[in-house]
Amino acid sequence: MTNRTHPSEVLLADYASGALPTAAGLTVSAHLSSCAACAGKVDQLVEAGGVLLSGLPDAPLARGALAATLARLDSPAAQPAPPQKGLTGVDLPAVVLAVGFGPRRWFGRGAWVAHTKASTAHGWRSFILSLPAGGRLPAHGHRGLELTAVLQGAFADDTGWHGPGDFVTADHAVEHDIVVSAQGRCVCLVSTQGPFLWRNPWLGALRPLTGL
Amino acid sequence: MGRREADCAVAATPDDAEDIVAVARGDKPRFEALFARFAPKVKTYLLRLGVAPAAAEELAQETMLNVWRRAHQFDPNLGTGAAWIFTIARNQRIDALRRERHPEALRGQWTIAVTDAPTPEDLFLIREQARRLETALADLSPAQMEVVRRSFLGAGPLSQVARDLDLPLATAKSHLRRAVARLKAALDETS
Repeated sequence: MTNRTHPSEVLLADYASGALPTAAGLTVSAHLSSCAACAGKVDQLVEAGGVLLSGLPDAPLARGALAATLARLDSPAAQPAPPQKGLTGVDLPAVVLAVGFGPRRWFGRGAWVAHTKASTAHGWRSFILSLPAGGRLPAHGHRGLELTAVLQGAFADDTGWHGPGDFVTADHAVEHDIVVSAQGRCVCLVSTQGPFLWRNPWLGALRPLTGL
Repeated sequence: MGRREADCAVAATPDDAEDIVAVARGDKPRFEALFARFAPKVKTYLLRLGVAPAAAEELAQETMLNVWRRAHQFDPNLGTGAAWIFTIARNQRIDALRRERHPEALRGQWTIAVTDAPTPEDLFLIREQARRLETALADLSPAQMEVVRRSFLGAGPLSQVARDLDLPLATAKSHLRRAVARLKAALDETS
């Protein structure tokens, strides 16, 4: 089953409530940065979170909690790491730059993968995948969910074409073959649970190189 | 504008946005007021998510410290103060559970700096909105409310909530959808 274009409501709810690991949330977040409709849904869910928070009973705080916090107000905050520099010619969403990513690993002409630095806890990991115009990612399956946010270019799978801003969900039942549009390269942010299951064992053998 | 007889029942929420805007200007007494109102609730939120008491205390203080440091990023036109504080507490929770840095930009909507201070009319609208949201949530059926509550205050994803409540995922989804539709209607009334 493939869900084209937008994340499911369940995914948006898990994202809003904080139940989604960062490596999965990253791809949802990339979609939200280009989809006002989904961002609006998440905002409404977050509003519900605010109302629920306000309605919670008070837990007793440690003695001196306020004083301890006040004492820290004027101390400078640890500066967050500056966002990573982008890649020439690739439109990466701010969230990806904020999280950072490792070096590009090339695995074919014009084909590379760069793993983000989001934690791989809970079995999720995320990576930027770039395939050249007309390129293919041969048939592969998944052990769990695969979430894809198209950042630039377009690709086709058995459900049709997916372009910039589209969000594609594939579950373990999908074994898909990806073909990139001849118009230009396609760059996606992908979050997966577990490694790809390649139909071609040679591609599986490349795993130490690509991490895919 | 609706009638305002319910105002006294929701005395706690109305000043959240106004207080955060004041805190952005460095107003410490208003920060203390926010701390008194939210720190104990944030601690409860974290405790309910299974965070150990000592860590919940530390993260509640850390959440409030972040409220102080990021108050300038709060835009009252984008949501209520309580929702903004919720996102900070939620991210603390993700940090605590995953032991990783949660990028600020994951809440992209909140990171845009506010250029115009809200007018008194804006603040009035925000207060009205907060009141309507509370009323809308109070109107939900107990089953719908339970799904919303567990989804936000429980430790698992919606699929887990459905399993815990012995509901089909589709039902849990429709409860959540209905809850959100009510919230949306409540928000639309004010615009």
